[in-house]
Amino acid sequence: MSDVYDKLTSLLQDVFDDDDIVATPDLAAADVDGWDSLAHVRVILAVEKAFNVKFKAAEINVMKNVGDLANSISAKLAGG
Amino acid sequence: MNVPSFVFLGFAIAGAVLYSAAGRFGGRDGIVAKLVLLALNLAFFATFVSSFSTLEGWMSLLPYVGFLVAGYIGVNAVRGGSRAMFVGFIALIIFAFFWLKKYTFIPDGMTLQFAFVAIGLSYVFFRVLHLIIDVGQGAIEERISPLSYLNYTLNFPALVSGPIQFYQDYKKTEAEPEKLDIFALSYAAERIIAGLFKVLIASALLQFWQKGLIAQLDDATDPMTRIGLIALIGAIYPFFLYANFSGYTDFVIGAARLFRLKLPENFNNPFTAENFITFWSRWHITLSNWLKTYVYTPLLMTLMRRMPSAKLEPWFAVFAYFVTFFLVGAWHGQTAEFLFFGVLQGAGVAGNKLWQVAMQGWLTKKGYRKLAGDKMYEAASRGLTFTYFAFTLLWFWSTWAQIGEFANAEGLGGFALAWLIVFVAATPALALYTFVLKKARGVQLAGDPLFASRYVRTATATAMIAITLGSTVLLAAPAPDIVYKNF
Repeated sequence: MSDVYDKLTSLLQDVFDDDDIVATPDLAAADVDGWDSLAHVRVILAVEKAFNVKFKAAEINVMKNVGDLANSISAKLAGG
Repeated sequence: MNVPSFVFLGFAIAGAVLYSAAGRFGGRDGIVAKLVLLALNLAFFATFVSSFSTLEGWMSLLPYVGFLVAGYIGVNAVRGGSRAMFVGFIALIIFAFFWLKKYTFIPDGMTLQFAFVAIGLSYVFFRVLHLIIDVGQGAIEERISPLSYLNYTLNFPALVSGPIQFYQDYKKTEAEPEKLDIFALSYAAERIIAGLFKVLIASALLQFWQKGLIAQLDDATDPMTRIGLIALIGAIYPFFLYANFSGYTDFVIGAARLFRLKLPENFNNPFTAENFITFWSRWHITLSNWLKTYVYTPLLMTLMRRMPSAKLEPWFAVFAYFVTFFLVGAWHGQTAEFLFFGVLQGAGVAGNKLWQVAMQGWLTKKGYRKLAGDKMYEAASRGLTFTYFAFTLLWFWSTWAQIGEFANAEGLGGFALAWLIVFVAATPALALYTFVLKKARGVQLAGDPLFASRYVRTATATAMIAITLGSTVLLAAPAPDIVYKNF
């Protein structure tokens, strides 16, 4: 799981052009400057590319924080 | 049966007692309680059938039954089915909805020529479509039994006008029911009382006031009086609609809590929103969330995948916002007025995004953030958001002919002045309201916000129920209809 968070940290820093962002389970869109609905889609597409996974429409808007995103990635990587 | 009403409240309380008693019998997966809930859902639905002693009465049920059956077949057929099957059932359900709701683009000769029950069909449509999409995409893996399907789609507290709950959330609240202790009962009672007060008192008074002003407008001769009246008529309606719809929502959230079910919220202080995009995340939240989930996000993702370009992304977002909020608006009704209302919602949200993109380009992201944080800018932006929404609502509650009368009353200049007055008045008023709300939340009693304390809540609820009961009994005036019941 720590690998997922490390990768997410670098991905979020890249998307938001901010080296201070650290992916933690509680980190939410409201905590990151510029994380609006467009940025959310940018994050999802970057995650899909980086982890080679696919998200369904229903999964994308219900994620409340990075913890939910990381759990979803882990489940997909585990084949769930 | 009207919602909210004391009759509905009696039905919900009696139903909750039955449901709770049935829960004690248990059965596999609480089957007895679920069957009781189904009986209640069907009994409530049956109150909208004109007669069960005539063939016409039974016939009036057929279209609704057909829609539900087609939906259930779709939910099962798309599981592991082909892409064509998936797209076909989505198209079928959308077409069936337009057909049954008699949208203007469906030729008259094609629509059903007899009266039929359509109560809450718009909300059932969203639930059915969501099930088909999620099951088809594999986001819902469990098999959905006919019992679960009917209890979810026809859930009686949310049947008439929502809120639109996702199936996963419905199942979660069913599997892990909310506690029903004295605190939960108090909470349910508070929401029910607040709902009754908002609909039966606040929205009734605002509607009465607005109708009176419209009558005054016909008699007024002084130009400034007429302009002032147009401003007031336009500005009152958003408050009426808020009291009417959020009151209904409070009431049904409280009623559902008696069944230990948690319904999603539909409002979150919408008039404090600083821009139109934020406004739509606080007004009819479950509708905009639904369309963001199934229209905005997939559309934006598709565009960004097909044409990857960092420069184009904000423009894709503008386009996706327009499409999404056009649909939010157009969903409300079948006439040209509602279609234009949709165009105005789409244009408002897309224009807002366009403004953000332009300002970030001009001032840089940091500069725009600084501007957006400025108190004067924030207040003006909030005032403009309210004014624009109130203006667009003309196409929601009025007709082209009446809007023409308003616009011609003192010429287009006078009409524009009326909306300038709304903006000038709304800006400081909403800034003051937001300030007071923030300060009031900061006043603490024993570590909790004062106005969330049980003393203040009990006093408020007591005052509201006393006023509601007193007025209802003394005036015996008919309760205003729930506006969203007609959609």
